Amino acid sequence: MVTTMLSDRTRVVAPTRLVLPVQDLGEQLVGDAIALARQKMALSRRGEDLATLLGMPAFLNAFVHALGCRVAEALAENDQFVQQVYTYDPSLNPDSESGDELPATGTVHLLVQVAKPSAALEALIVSLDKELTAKLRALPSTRFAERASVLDVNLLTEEDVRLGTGYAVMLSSVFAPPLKVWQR
Amino acid sequence: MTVVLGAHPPISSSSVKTIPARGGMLGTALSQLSIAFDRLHLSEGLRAIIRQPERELTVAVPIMKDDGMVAVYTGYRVQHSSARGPCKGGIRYHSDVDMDEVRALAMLMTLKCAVANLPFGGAKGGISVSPSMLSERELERLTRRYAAMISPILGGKRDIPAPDMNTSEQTMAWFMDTIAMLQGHLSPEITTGKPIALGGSAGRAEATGRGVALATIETLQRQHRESHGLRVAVQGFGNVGQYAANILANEFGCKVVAVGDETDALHNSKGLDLAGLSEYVRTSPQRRIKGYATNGALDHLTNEELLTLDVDVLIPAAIENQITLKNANQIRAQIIVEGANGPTTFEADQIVKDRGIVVVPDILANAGGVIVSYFEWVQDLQSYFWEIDEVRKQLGIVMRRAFAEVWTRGEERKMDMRSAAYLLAVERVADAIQQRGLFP
Repeated sequence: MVTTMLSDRTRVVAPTRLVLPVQDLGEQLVGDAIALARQKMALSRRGEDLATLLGMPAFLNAFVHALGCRVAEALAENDQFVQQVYTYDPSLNPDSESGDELPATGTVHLLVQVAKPSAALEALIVSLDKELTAKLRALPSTRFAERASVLDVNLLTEEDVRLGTGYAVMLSSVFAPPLKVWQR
Repeated sequence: MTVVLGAHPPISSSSVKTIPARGGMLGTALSQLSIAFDRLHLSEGLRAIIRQPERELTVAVPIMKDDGMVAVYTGYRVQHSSARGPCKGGIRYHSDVDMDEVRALAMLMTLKCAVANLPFGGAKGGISVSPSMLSERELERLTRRYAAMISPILGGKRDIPAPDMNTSEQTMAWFMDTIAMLQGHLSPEITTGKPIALGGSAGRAEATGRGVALATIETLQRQHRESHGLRVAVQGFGNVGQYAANILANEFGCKVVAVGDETDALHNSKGLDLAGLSEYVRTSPQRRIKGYATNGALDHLTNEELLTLDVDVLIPAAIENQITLKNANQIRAQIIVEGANGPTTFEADQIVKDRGIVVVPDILANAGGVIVSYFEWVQDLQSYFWEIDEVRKQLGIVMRRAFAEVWTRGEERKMDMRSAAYLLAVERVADAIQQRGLFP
């Protein structure tokens, strides 16, 4: 038995240069996310076909989270101004006694803190969203069949973070804090 | 015999752990706590007792991961006060959870339960973990091991957990089952927020939103205003915002003219079709407002425009720090009912107060959730479960009573509702401590 102390405070992903066309990148990200999500399932369920797995909330949550992490990595690898990336769940219930009530949406919500906004990054996000949406629509799940978009990416500048404006206000939230998934 | 705690030697300030100031609701709570101490002329001894959590437990929670490796996570449970009854508070899973945060949130629960006059103290717990990094089985093992490790201080008459961030009724079911296995018998009152089949209460999903709606109506009544046709804007269209908007419109005749979430905000001065919008949000792939077919009949607003809309009532039911120094002077609503936790910053609160806007504070306005948790505990103890109508009726009684007490205290002391709520809460906790006296 191997023992390890895990710290989930910050998951820093080792950089891997992505030089793929967006079409191939989208396919790779979705494939990686499915593989990672399978690993989160109980051993007896890992071999289930994808259609069955996508019907399971636990798999869907794991898939969306893994996709968010891989998208974060891809954005950071392709834009040097990306400093930190967070995922967040906008359906978190502000009432601390009720817990989470709303089911998973299948949308990847990201907050991307950048040193400098760039048109190139925004263009990458748009094309990646288009590509990922097409890939997800092809998955054997009605959940994604009608989707026009799967990425919800909000760029935060350092000034946004400093002043706590817009979505940056979430970074100081105690009741619904985002989760850091990548940092430079 | 009543013991005057001030007669005891004061605890030195260096021995009192201070709860760190945080933004939003926590910062406001700590500021209000100090103000209430002064207004109530509390002795140093009482102040020290209230500032300091009664009991703190840190546990190292080892679990076997699916790949055979062992991971160890840090878990916490803080019982801030049991002066008024068993400690009550949620359990959260998040990578940023730490003792300071848990400590502050536990204190807030003590005050929230006291404002609603529930026979509970306050607690909070959590594990520093990214739950999305774990498989379902790993989460179950983590929950069960954590439950076992903090079980010595839990109990239906000692400390009652509930769901919080990234935990759910499934988490509570695992919690309850673990304690049942350790005790050799089932005690559903050990947690709240359970599935109905395991002793949960009807009406939990709507509880907070209904409480917000009731707080709105109570405010209107104090101002001798009719609810029918009253213009309401709701920021946040999740669980709380949706229920609050629908209840205000359907049961009290209010005109909800604007709602918004992070994707879009819609406005119609004649009132929105809430049934259609709620159905769209419930069934749309992203479960958000964006994409709702307006057919040109609705205006799209920005978040700032929604907050500063010309309405009678504004209900911020999204996240913290939405009403700030930047927009407080532009708010045009005469009443703000805080559905979210900490939507108004401390500085903005001073501005809206000076402008004569009535703010129903979060600690009162969104107490519906913990009130129905109390009902769940009561039902579990009695093994007799209420119909939804009974839950709604009792929620109305408790919310209206809590509102009336805060309002009256504000009138008597000529203070705003937030100050009055904190004053009342601290006074109740202090009274309980004083009347019980110090053991031994």
